[in-house]
Amino acid sequence: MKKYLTGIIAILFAVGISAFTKPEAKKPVKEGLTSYYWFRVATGDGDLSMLSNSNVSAYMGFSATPPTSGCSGSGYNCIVGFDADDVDIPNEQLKPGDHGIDNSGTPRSTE
Amino acid sequence: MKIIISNTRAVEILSAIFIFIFAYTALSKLFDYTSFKALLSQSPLIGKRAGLAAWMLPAVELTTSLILFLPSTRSFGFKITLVLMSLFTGYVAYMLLFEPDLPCSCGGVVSAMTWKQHLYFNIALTILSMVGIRMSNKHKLFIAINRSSRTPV
Repeated sequence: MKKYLTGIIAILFAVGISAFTKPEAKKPVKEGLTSYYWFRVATGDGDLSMLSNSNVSAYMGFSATPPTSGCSGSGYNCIVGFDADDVDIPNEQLKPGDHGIDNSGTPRSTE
Repeated sequence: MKIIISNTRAVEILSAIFIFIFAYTALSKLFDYTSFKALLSQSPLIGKRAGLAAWMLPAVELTTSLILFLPSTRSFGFKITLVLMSLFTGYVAYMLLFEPDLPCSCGGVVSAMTWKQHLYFNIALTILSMVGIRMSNKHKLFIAINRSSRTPV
């Protein structure tokens, strides 16, 4: 048992700390808040207000609050939200054509 | 006798460090699976294989943790750790050179590091895994030499 002790302690620390540093997007949704489909804006397109699939680089999930993902600052779009009318949900992408941003989400300091 | 104890303890501590790092990053990735998968899909090296990579990476990390946990397989675990850390370090170096604007798809507080900090961190862990291989091999060799002795080791 003694030879397993340090390993057990390491595992317990890992489980405990990873549970305490869970990202904010996993917190329970407050009543009355609308959920959006979040997308990361492609580099260079941060100043656009109408976006198509070529202007977004990744689908970030569906939640009431934007997922944290390395965006910080102000001025340019980084993670933006769209409602169900704009999103091809099974394929996790925007429908064809340009779509107005429904939630400006998280900004960033560079375009 | 003294040498075995200190070597054994050092190997245990090293393996505990890697068990903690792999288990923590794997669990952090699994707790935020959707974002992790989305970030992986942005990487030019992974792209469309993000779905496969998103569950495979945590699975490999957790398996490596288990291999390091068991004393009988610890030496092999350090070798796997060396391979993994070399791959991760290569990936971070590539991202630093070609895609420095993309966020890190690492788990937990490691994602708060810059790419450069992450590179130094990974290099340090790679060196540590080499130390682990050497120490665990030295430990086995010492026991093997003494196996012919009637005195308990």
